Amino acid sequence: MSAPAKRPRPGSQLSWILRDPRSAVGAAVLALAVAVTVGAPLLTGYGPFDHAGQVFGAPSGAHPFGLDDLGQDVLTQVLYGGRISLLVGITAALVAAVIGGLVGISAGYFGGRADTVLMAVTDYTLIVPGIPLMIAIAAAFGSSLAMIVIMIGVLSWPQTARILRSQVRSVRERTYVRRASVLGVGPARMIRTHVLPQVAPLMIATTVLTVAQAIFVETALAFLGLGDPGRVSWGSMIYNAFDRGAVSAGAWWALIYPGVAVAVVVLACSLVGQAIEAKLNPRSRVPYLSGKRFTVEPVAAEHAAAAAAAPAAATPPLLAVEHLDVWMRNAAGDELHVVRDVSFSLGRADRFALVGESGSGKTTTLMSVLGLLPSNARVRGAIRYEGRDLLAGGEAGMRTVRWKEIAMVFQGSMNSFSPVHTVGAQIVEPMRLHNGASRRAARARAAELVGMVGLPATVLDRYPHELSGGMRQRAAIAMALACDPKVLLADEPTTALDAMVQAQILMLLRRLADELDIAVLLVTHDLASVSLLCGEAAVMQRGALIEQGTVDALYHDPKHPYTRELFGAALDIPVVDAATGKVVPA
Amino acid sequence: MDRLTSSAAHGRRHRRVAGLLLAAAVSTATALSAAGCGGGAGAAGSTGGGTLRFGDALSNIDATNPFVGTNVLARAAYEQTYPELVQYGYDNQITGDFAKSWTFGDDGRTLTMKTAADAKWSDGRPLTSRDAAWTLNTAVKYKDGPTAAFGSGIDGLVSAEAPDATTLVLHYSRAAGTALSQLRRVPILPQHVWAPHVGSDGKGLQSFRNEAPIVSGGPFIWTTFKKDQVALFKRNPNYYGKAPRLEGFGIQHYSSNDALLQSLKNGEIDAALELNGVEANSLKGMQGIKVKSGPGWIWDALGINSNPKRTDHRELLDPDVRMAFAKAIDTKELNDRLQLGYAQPTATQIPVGEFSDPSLKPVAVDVAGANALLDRLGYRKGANGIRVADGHPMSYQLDLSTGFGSSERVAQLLTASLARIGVKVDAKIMDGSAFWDRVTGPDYKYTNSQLFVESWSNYPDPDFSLSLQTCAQLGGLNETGYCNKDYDKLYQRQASEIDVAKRKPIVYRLQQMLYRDRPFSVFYNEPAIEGWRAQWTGYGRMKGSTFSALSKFPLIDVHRAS
Amino acid sequence: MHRDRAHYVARRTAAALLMVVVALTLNFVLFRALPGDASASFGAVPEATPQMREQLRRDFGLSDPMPTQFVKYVEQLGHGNLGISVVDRQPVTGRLGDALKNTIPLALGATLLAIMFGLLTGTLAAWRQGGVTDPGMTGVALTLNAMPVQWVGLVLIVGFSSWFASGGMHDPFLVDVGAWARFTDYLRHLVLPMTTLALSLFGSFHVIVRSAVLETLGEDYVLTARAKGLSTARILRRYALRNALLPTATLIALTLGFVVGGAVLTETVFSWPGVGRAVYDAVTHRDFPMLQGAFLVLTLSVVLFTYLADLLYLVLDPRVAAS
Repeated sequence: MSAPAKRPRPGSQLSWILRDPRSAVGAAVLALAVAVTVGAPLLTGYGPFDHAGQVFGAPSGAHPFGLDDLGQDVLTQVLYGGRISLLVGITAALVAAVIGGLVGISAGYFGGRADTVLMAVTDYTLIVPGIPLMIAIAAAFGSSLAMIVIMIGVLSWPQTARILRSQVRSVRERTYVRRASVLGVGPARMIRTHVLPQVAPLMIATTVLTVAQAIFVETALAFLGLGDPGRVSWGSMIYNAFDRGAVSAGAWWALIYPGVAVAVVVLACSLVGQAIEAKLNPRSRVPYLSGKRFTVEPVAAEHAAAAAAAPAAATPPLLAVEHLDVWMRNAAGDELHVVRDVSFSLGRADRFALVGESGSGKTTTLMSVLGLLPSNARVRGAIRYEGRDLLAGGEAGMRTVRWKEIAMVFQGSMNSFSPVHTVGAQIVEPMRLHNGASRRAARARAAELVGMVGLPATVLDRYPHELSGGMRQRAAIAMALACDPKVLLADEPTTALDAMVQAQILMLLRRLADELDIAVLLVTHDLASVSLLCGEAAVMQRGALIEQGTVDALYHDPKHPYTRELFGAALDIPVVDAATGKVVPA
Repeated sequence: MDRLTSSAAHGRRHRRVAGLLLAAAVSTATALSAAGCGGGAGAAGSTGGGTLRFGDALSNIDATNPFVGTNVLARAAYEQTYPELVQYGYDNQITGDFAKSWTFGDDGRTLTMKTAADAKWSDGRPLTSRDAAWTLNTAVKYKDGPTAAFGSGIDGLVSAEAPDATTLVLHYSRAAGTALSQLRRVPILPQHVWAPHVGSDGKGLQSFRNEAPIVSGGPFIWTTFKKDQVALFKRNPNYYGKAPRLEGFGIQHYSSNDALLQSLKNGEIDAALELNGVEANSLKGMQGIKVKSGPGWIWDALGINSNPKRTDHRELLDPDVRMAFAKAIDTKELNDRLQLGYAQPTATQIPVGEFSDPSLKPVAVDVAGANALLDRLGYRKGANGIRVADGHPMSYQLDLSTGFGSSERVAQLLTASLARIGVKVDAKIMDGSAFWDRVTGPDYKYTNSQLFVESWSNYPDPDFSLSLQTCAQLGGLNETGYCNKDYDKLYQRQASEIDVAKRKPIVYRLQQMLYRDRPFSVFYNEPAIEGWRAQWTGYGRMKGSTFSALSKFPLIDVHRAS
Repeated sequence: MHRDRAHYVARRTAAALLMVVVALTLNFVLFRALPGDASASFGAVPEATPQMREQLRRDFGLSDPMPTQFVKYVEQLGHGNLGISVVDRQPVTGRLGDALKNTIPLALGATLLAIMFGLLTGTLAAWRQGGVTDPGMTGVALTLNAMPVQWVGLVLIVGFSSWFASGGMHDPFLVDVGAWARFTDYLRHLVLPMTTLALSLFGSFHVIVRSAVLETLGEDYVLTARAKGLSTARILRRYALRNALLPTATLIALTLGFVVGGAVLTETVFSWPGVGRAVYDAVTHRDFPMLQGAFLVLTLSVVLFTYLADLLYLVLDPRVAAS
């Protein structure tokens, strides 16, 4: 992901936080909690320590939350107690934020020895057992509010420091920051103007989560009898219910309401923290696996009628895409027409290319063949393999052709391989699952396949990260051939590879397609690969297929002005012979 | 009970115990989640004494060594496992235990006692008056050090001798009027077990662990002790007195009242000790549970440091200030809110009864009067509402012990009460030993503490409660640092007065001194509340607790109804 | 490759050893070098025999300067001698050993339960994101996470104590019974505290697993797996979860390290005689030798599990050694 050149406005990020329903609810609840606890005298006529009624009196009109073990009004106690719990929570979190912020930002910004030292301090503070230490200190030095706040703050800052440090490190690498530092702006100003606004949302997120943690700790200390005895807090309410046998007396309200209060506030904090975290780590990619499948609609009525009317072909083409339309629904809810009424077909051992600029819908078309569309897609049309409509067969139907009949090679820049399994395991997997091959047979075949793509058999025991980009792409091709497919889909197989390697891969694909009698459907924006590999091509622009024909014809006799533009713009890119390394004359 | 038959029956009884528990265990194993099915030997309907399982959420036996353990439960455990010369009966009168009869001689300075014949310790060794003599002489010898815990039981004792196996002669320095009630507090230890630990300075007596199972002489043998968890006892076949019907008993410690009451309800335990008023009400609604509540043997009070040599906050020594504090505290409100009205109002540390002065009434709450008292003394309220006395604010630290029970609530109520008269109180709750150090410290100089909350046992005989305020107990059990020579003289007089009619007026006068000087401002007598499952008979007959530190009778008589 | 791994292990071991040294020093400073009760009472065990006192003075060099004391402290640690507990004059090591034996099944069991459920619900929530399952499950997880653990314990006691025990580790009145009865009694007592602790841990596992699986579901190898015709279950299990295990494993290790000490609230509610409870009791009785011993155990357990997590990473992620 490339770094933005301009400095994003911090204010815009914060307002987004309020628009997320989770954080909006959370923030509202927190605000409400603070409001009712601060405004406690307005909401209740009793003081928290007033003898308001009978010990363990049941909830009633006058006492909606009932009475506790001293006959005090529980609602009043919840409101006033909230003051202490929230005060401790918020102040302790602020202490943690200040310390953690200083340490984390300094470590992240200055790096080097300062970073090592500060991180060492952070890590060593993390191994200190927090609650036991706080118990010991509270018992030794007494448990005033100030003591509790400082203790919690001092033990909670390491988490904040670590998170901020990683964030600052990545911010530091951004272009505009580097530019500014080159210009000689001093570290203090740099941090203030560039770093702080960027880490502010994250600081808010961790501070909010620390508030929740601090409230928990206060509740824990009060429960162990280490709270401030002169004040009422939610923790002390739970403690007194415990200590004075509220439950056995049938007075569940003395126990439940303070617990619910804590849970509500902590939940609100979690929601806000979660929403901020989600915003900061946006998942730019749509998940490739989802519980919901994309919607399929049959071919449009008019096309269906036409197809029925047309004479049946002697043998259906190996792969035929008929009147394919694909719509994608974006985050805002709008449907984009990504593929418009695309039709083409491949015969046995044909080599067909879909060409176009990025955004032309060619990749989406390719993905549709194997039903690899995300859940926000809607598809209309038919994709026939040996006459059978794959789209109509559902996911189960698709699985019968995936890899066994139609296999795929993805872009060279992609992680087609799982990093935690060996290359060999991943090649062998479809063989054993689809063909029921034994382990030995599958491994032997895998060795054969990697040999075919020019890799040594030792590669099977390697992990993907140990291979270069080119070797990985070869291995991906070997993997695609594992189940002897009849069709090979290739989505920009040479993108992000070196020019030399690109040519080699293309030559490899061509040779394999020839030797193994496989049809190839290639998607690419690179016209050189088209001429090298394919006999026929189709040009796509903005989702529509605007021209189709032999590669030769498209090159030398384009009908559509766009085709002319596209092919004309392609300079005569020299094609390199993989074997000799010499340029192949045009 | 005939010695021969009891030892022959020994084997038989053991097998029956194992069989019962095994049967119970089988039923537990097959009915893992049966509601209300108690584990252990509590299965209803079986014949025999059974095993009585106690639960306690307040106190914890601190040690098996009587020179170390001071906790009320520990003392009750010693009562049940060691012989004592005398004990209290159901009528709260002194009656015999190991000593069957006694006479005073030599103007009350000699006490001759006849002890049980042919008695044995649980390990089979003979239990004779020589053990008693050894115990008492050792206690006297080291009473300023390792055996200080026995000090209140041997006040005035000079020496003890055992001319034969069943005779014990005690020599006192003065007429021993309170000897019997004091001796009641001294467990008789097996000489053959303890003597090797005396060493040259007696310190070994305190460091001796006395591991369970301990060599016992009482109706029960202490078989298991896991501190903070459980203590188990089984019937002692060698007991010289009436054999208990119980096969054994145990005490399990609980960390919360709710867990304790749930366990009682579910039948996991048979009886709950040391309950408060709130729990009494909870239990009254429960099926199959009986509750007994009545006055107990414990008084609760506000302790005020009374060290006449203290240098700061000298206004605390003024009886008028103390009376103002007493008037500010509404003991009825404390009773209602903390004990739900179950506590017994009282003005004095002496239990309501024979020796308590009826002319002394609990101080009625009178906030206006209290304020007037302090106004008259010239202690004006400052801008923040806190009175100023002799140039410093009347702001004190109130110490409470975690062993007190509901100490947070007590602190809260007292803080509010004293705030009404312009006195600021800062409550601090700490564990038992830290509390003791703070109240008497530093090093028993009695200068640190100001106010504290305390509770003490009071026995039928007032001697113990009165002794707490003597100068002699400074550095011992005297907590407030109160030292008044006139008081000490009167105390000695009542201690040596054998005639009860003559002793009473002296005791009354001592109470009046305490009422006026108020080292402790008593709130009330804590209620003694017990809950037990209905299938147990003979429970709850003793004032105080059935697991008694005063008498062996309750546990000897309790048994399961068939 | 093997050399990389060896280097990695060596580096991590060195880091762990350094942590141990720091932990020992911290522990020593906290309890001995600071003024006040703590340092004084290490040797001043009340009612200790003179021999015992002399032994302590010799073993720990109590009259020597601080650096020497530190050396002796480490030396004694090597012999398993952590001093004498002030409360019952028994070796701290013995009591801590018992406490640890009691806490480990509770902590381990609860963590395993929480992990199992967290893996399940987290994966489900990530897979079915966008529907009703995800917010539902995640909502439940966050709510459970938001409840104070002692409160959860009390509520469970109220609800279930008639089926299971309301406190303690075993029925102390169960004597002279067979091993099976004792075992089932132990289980009866373990259920509620373990469930309480598991409920309090489950929330964070769910969130982490869900987050990690969501990340992996957007990875290209998942698309490849789908194209390969693998079943959804296989993809989730073998590709999504397996890759999502990396951040989860770190969390598991850290949780195990901290839960031993963090179980203090659960152990208090259920009177479970474990390490957390031992810490609390040591503090209230000002048993500083015991407290120091307990702290050391807790700190070392964090270091140990962090170290194990690092080693586990080596097994889980082949890329780690190379970096």
